[in-house]
Parts: sequence; C-alpha cells; structure tokens
Amino acid sequence: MLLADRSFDAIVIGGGHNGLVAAAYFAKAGRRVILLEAAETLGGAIATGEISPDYRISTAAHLVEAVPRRIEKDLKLARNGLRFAARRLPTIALARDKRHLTLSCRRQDLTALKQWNPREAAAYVAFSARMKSYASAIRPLLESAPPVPGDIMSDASSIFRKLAWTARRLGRPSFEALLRAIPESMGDLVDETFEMPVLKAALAFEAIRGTSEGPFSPGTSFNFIYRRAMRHETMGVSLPEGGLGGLIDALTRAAASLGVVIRTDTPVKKIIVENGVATGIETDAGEILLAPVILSSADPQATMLGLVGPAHLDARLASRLAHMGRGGATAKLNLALDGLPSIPGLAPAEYGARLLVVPSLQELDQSFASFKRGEFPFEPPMEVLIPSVADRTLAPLGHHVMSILIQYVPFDVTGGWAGQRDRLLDRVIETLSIYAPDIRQRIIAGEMLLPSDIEAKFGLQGGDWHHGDLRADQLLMFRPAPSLARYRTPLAGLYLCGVGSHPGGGISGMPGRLAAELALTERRRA
Amino acid sequence: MERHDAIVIGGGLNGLTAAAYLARAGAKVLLLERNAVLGGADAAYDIAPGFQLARYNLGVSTLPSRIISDLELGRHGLRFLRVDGGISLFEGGYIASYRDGVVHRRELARFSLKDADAWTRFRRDLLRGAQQLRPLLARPLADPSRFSLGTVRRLLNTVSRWGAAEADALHDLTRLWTLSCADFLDDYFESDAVKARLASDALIGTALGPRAPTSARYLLGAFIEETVGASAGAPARNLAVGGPTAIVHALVSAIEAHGGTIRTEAEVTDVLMRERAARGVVLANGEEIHGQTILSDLDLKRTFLALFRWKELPEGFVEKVGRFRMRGVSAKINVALDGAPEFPSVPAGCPAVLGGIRIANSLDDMECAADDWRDRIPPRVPLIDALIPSLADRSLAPPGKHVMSIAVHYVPEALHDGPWTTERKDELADLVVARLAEQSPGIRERIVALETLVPPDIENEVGLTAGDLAQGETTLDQMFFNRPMAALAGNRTPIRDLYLCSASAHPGPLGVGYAGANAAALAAASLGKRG
Repeated sequence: MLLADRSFDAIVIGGGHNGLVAAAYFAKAGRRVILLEAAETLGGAIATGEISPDYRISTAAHLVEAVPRRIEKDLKLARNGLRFAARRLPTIALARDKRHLTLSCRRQDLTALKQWNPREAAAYVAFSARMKSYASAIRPLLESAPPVPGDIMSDASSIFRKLAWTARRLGRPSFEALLRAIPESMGDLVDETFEMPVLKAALAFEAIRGTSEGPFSPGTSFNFIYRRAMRHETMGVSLPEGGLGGLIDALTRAAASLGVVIRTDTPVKKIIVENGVATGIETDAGEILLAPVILSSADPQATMLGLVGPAHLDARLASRLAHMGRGGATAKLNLALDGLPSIPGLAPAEYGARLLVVPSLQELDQSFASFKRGEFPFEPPMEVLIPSVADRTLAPLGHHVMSILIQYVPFDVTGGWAGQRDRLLDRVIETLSIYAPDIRQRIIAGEMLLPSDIEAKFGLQGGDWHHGDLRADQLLMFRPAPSLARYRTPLAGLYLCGVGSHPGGGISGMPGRLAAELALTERRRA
Repeated sequence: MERHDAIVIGGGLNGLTAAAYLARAGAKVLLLERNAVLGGADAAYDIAPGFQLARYNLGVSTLPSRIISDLELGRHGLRFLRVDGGISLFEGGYIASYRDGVVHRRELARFSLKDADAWTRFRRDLLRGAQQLRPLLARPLADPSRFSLGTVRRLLNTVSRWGAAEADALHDLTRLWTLSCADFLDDYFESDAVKARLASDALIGTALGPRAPTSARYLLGAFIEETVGASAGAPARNLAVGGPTAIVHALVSAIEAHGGTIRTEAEVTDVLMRERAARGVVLANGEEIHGQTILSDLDLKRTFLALFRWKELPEGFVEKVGRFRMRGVSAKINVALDGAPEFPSVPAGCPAVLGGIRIANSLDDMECAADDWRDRIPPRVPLIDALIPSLADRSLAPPGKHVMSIAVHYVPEALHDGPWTTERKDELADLVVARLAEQSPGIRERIVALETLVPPDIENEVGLTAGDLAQGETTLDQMFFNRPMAALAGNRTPIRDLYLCSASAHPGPLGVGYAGANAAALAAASLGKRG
C-alpha cells in the first residue's frame, strides 16, 4: 500500500528531541517533512508523566542543561510556550554531618565555603575557572560537525591551529595542566586539588553521572570537561515548567508551526534500500513512504542493524555496531510526597536545588565496585530534585514530587531483579533518610524505573541514555562509528540525527540541528 | 678535586645504559651507586648459598635490541634465551602461550575455534600498534605546550604517520590506546581463559584493572620487541643467561671498556649548583665531585625532593613534582626450592613452563584485586606471576635445585589500617604459597628459603619512591609528553646540565634503557661529543 501523499522532502524517524529539532530545521528551510514516532507520545525519555493523579513529574531525564541558545532562538521555543520554572539551578552536595556544600561560582553561594574553609574556597574558584577555560577551548569542536579523519594533514593542522590559539589564550601553565587533565581520572584530579571529602565526591560524581565508569577510571576528567562544554552558555542547568514534557511540547509546537507533519503510533519496520540508496521507509502497518532524505534519530545500532539490515552494510561496520560500548548504569525513582521532607541543615530557599548524595570518593568508588560485580550499591550515589518547589503546577498545593537519579544500578543484577527490586527501593529510601529523616512518612506513591525498564519503555538499548558511551573511541569523528560519523551513512540519502551522533550526550538538540543542516546542504548540491 | 665530563647518579639499568653511551661517545664518565651491588631493582643476590636470583626484578628485564647492538653487549658476554611465553593455571586446567604459530593456534583451539582464528587478527593489529609506537620510544619527545614551529611540525609528522589515510586506522589506534583491556579483548576473543591469559600478561605491574579504560594499551608491551617475521605465535619471553644481573655485568663491562669509572657505595646527597646549572655532586662522606653534566637515574621525586634545596628550584616546581603519582603495586616473593615443582594439570615437558607460571583465573578476579589495591587492603585474589629461571638456566641454582621468583600484583604500598608488618607479610606469602599449592600440591615441602618483599622494602633498599618499580604510574596522564610532566617532557630538567635518565622520564617502563640512551644523547650533544 502506498500512501497517497508521497511528496515529502524528508522523513524523520523517531520523535525524541533530536528528531523534532532535525525535522524543524529541515522544515524551516522550506522543505516538506514528515516525522514518524513509534510510541503514542513524542519525546522518548524526555517526558512528563503522572505518578498518581495530580502528581506530575519528568519520567526519566529530569534536567535540561545543554540546549544551546541558538536552538532556542532559531526555533522560537519561548514563543512556542517554553517557560522555565528555574534556571541556573545551584548544586548542593549533602553531607552526613549536615554541613551541606553549595557548588556554584556565584559570590553569594561561596560565602559560606569561604568562612568554613578559605583555602578550599580559593582552590574551588581557581578550579572552576580552569575547567571553564578548558570547556570553552573544546566548545568549538562540539558546535560544528566533527572533523574529517580521512584527510588527516589538512585537518590535523586545523585542529592544531585551534589548539595553538587555545594555548595562547589559556596561557602555558593552564595548557600544560590540560594536557595532563584530559587523560587523568577525575578522582585523582580532585584528590590532588582539594581536601574536603564532600567537595571531591561531588565533583567526581559530575564526571561519572550517567556513565558506567568509576571515579578513578582514567579519562573521566575529560567527561567532566566535555559535559561542562555542552552545558548552556549562561543558564547552566534548568527546569522547564511542567516538567521536561514542557520542552517537548514547545519543540512539537515549533515543528508543527513550521509545517512538519507529525504522526505518532507509527513504528517503522524497515528502511527501503535500492542500489545503495535509501529511498523510503515501510511502517509496521505496511505503508510505504518515499523521500529523498531520511533522518533517523533512533539508536545507530537499531537504525543500521535493525531498520537497514546487515545485508546492506560491510562486515566491519556491522561488527563495530554490534560491539558498541554502552553503559546503562542509571535507574530512576519518582516519588509523590504529601509535604516537603525536612532536610536538616538545608535553608528553605535551597530545597529547589539539585541535591547530590555522594559522601566521599572512596564510597563512590566502592559503589562502582559493587556495580562491576553486578550488585547495586549499599548506599547508592544519587542526584535528587524536588521540582515542585519551583514549579507549583506539578503537585497539589503543599504536596511535592521528588525525582531521583540512582547511579551504579547494573542492568542485570546477580540473582535477578525479581527479588531485588524492593531491596533497591528500600536502600534508596534508607540512604535518603540519613539526610531527610522523615522521608518515609511523606511518601504517598512512587514508581521506579530500572535500566531494563528504561530500555523497554523508551527503546534505549541496554538502558543507556546516550545511544553509546561518550568515550574516546566513540566521540567526534568516531561517533558512533568511523563510517557513520558526520551524520552520513554508507547509504546515500540516509542520515543519523540522534544522540548517538556527534556531539551526543544529554538533551542538547545539537545532533538534530547539525544533521539537518548537513542534509540540506547536500540536497542543495545534488 | 675530581673532574668528569658526566656524572651518572644511580646504577640501575637506565643509569648504566646512559653511562655506557656517554663513555662510548668519548666522554669521561663517572657512575655513582649508593648500594654495594649495581643494578638497582635488577641487582642479584643469593637467597640461600648457591641460589641466585634478582632481588626485586619482576622477571621481565631485557634491553631493547637497538641498545644491545649499539653497545655491542653481545661482545661483552650478554646472551638471551628465547623461551615460550608461559602458562596460566586455573581451576582444572591451564593455557599456554607458544612461540610457534601452529602450536599456539592449536592451544587456543582447545578453548575456542573462533579464538584460534581471531589470534591472527589480534597479533596483526598489535604488531601494527607496536610498529607505530616504536619510533616514539627511541628519541626524546616534542613538547606540545611549547608550540614552536619545529614542535608543531614534528607533532604533525607523528600524527600523519599514525593517522594513515583512513578513518578506520585512526579509530583502531584510538581504541587500542583508550579502551579497557576487557572491552578490547571482547572484540577478538570469546573464551574467558584466553582473555584472562592475555590480560594478565599485559597488566602485570600496573595499578589498573582489566576493566579500567586505557588498560588495553598494556597489551602492546609484549609486542614492542616482536618482529613481524617471527613465527606467528605468542610473543616470546627473553631471559638473560645468568639472570637480569647478566645485563648489568655486560653494561659494566661496556662502560669500563670505554674508560668509564664506576663507584659503588657512594651515596649522592646533594647536587652542586652554580648559576642555576648543575656543576657537581656531594657524596654522603662530604666528598665533592665536579662534572659538566649530571644525569640522574633516580626517580623524579627522589631526584628533586632529596638532592636539592627546594628554594633552588623554580617556583611551583616542587608542587608539580609532588603531584607526580608514584604508587607501589607489586610485591616480590623469592623462593629457593630443593626440587622442581610439579604441576599435575600440565603435561610433563610442556616447554611453555620455562616462560613462567601465572595464576589468574578470570578478568573479574583481576578487577577485584585492583579494587582491593585502591581500598588499600592486601589482595584477596592476587595476580601471581612466578618464574623458575633455573629451569632454563642451570647456573642459577645447585644441580637439581631451583629458584623461583614470584611477582605478586595489586599489592598496596601501605595498608589502610597501618604499615606492613612481618605478620602481614607472612600472611601474604602464605596466601600466595597456598594458591600455588592448589596447582602444585608438593610445593610447600620443597621450599628451603623464602623471602617476602613488599613496596616499602623496595623503597628502603632500592630507593624507589613508594616502591613503584615503574617509577611513576603509567596511565596516559603520565606518559609521553606528560612524562614526567607536561612542561618537562623527556629528559631535560629545569636545572641546566641536569638530565633525568630514569624510567620517570619518557618512555618509562615501555622500554627500559631508552630513557638512559635518550638522556645520554642529549648530554653528549651538550658536551660536544658525537651522539
């Protein structure tokens, strides 16, 4: 069966944020675009759900940190209804002794640390400035399509020119420190810089959050710099009004107003390939849709091995995709509370901050060791948000919702999840009770998503939020694989625009934008 | 007052190599060694009368073939035995590494046919990696933080040589240098025994576990000196005839043949300075010796923190030296045996036993031991690498008797709850012997003498900070242009006419001897001698 209307310029597979961004950019250039989403709703892992009636919360991802100003402006997200309940969210590392530590470089936030430990405060200011300069040094690499490895000489000299320029701007000592910092482990880096356990642990947590690496894994300080570079230039970490679904609603409205045709509940069965050219798609229902450009925001492995099929790929690429390194190590717990839990030591204004529960580097490393053994940690490292403090639309008056990212939860647990699920829940609540003694009494409902639930619910294979680890052999011109870098695939007409492509990681919309722009230039040339 | 062209502080393999190169170039060289015996960690000793082995050496000592031929060490009596790569024992079986490609494939096929096929691909890829690495070891590296035109051009040459033309080659290179051992091996092999065998080969003497990123690059170690033409099997193990101390003897003989002087039991306590340049050394007995250039074979920390008044060093330098990570990871157990130990699970006469016996059950065990090391507890399942050099070289023990040199890995320098005491050393030795006895039931009764040396012993006797035999951790933030530190890459130091020729300098333990040779080339050039 052929759809009556087949005059599309592009088909976008997958309605996650990158798919929506790609479709919107493509449509903005005056092209006709159709977007197909397998699920009932758009957004994938970025969604607002209900824990129980009237208690709404960001189901999986719970923070926006990397959508650049440029995309906000280009797609007029504010005019399309994107409001932020909070921006520049401060981060507070909770301490067992109730002397919590605010991490931020705003002067007023640092006064407490300065009184507490002036030397440490100075070290922290210097460290933040250093990391900021490293981040701005690599940011240009993330804002454009990755370099071409083929023509190494011209490309290497352009990279070196960039680095030389960076070096001059950073000054020599700082550049030397960067050379050492990139391959170093975050644990070693903070251990030699700071003395306060909570501070060390909180910074190390930022480097390993969402990955399956430990604080002492070499190269983790690069994760920190990379994430810092991806972060919004001025606004840092933000909470959209109405949960993360608010971002998707705005993107959907933007795409629709640019003329994108959106169809949900339409899973794609395969990509039609003729003579090495991707010419269209076939849906599960048997519909056939043809277009000269196909942009897939699905996982690269699912796109290439599932939708295209290994028959159209060379053996090397097929085996590379099959062996992609992915590390789902994060579970999510959403709670509905009948009141604000009291956290001794925390000022009333601070309940809306991003709270980190990571007591020390050693405990973080031990949690990682349990993860490696296939067990969940006894006191899991966590990132806790109470979004309803800033956003009253999420819960009835006086009531609250709490969103918890649990780090180092293995995909398969020794002994199977059946009996362990409740034990993990219990450990998480028990760990939280150290800081918020009354949390147990406040809970009225909750839901927990294990890595396997995240895989099943959002199609994120292995429970990996990033479609493949952000590690050196899967970054830049190697993301997701050398012959799939720069959004192109071996099949003419098929492009990858999901988080599995450069620059990857987090909610940024960058892969979507860059892929759409590339596809547009190539169409114009053809 | 004595005057020399060059003074080498420390008589380890790198110091001896540097002295030999300088003497060969016609410089008047003096080498000073604190201990009575030369060789540093490779020094020989008798554990019992007639039983000789290297005291701290982990059994892996050799010199790069280029240095052996440059210094004509063959003429000075140095001979090597090439033996098979060794065996790994695990519950209910063993796996061996053979030099012969056909035999090695057959050995792998016992575990998995697919792995036997993958071996060719694995070997090819690692040989290619080694080939790309080799040119970087034999000369001092460019310092990218300096950004002179010459530096950029040299770096570009390196990059273009490595990068080849295509993305896939560059990707392979990136994978080899950044992946974890476990991830990298998963790409080739499926059998756990094969993977554990290869990973244990690679990670000996490092602090990284097989699942830590960047640990795959240690797999290159065994392939650096391997030539493409060799018989397609596992890399051979080279044993110096007469033990590692034979290398020391050959180097000493080369130095003396070229007119160099060696003094033992001469501890250097200070470096003399004049106008921010090194001009000589002071010995513990107060004697001053002058030299135009000074080469230090001590590790970075000991060189600068012990031999200098800190205010003589540039501002901020002491802190940087302090940040250089040196942590002991290995203990050594030396054993004298009154007969050859038997391994019932290994067929009699298996030639691979000559290359060493390793006990490494699985990657998980190794990862667990590495975790224990970070938690600073004695490893519960240590990685054990035992060598019985007297099986191949009868001169090392009385007839019919043997010496066994056991390297125990993932042993912390200090324990979280206190120092290493005699009881705790004995516990470690008991654990290791018990693990060996599981595989060789009669071994306990064969032991005539046993000595356990933990990292603090190595620090006290050889002088290596924290007992770190690699003289600085070998993670990538301390290798290449970061070794010993970014602004000090290579052998030059902030002190004029002072060169670092120890393994704390590039290329570190990747090729023992290269640091000495590279430093000697720089020193010879500054002395106006031919290189």
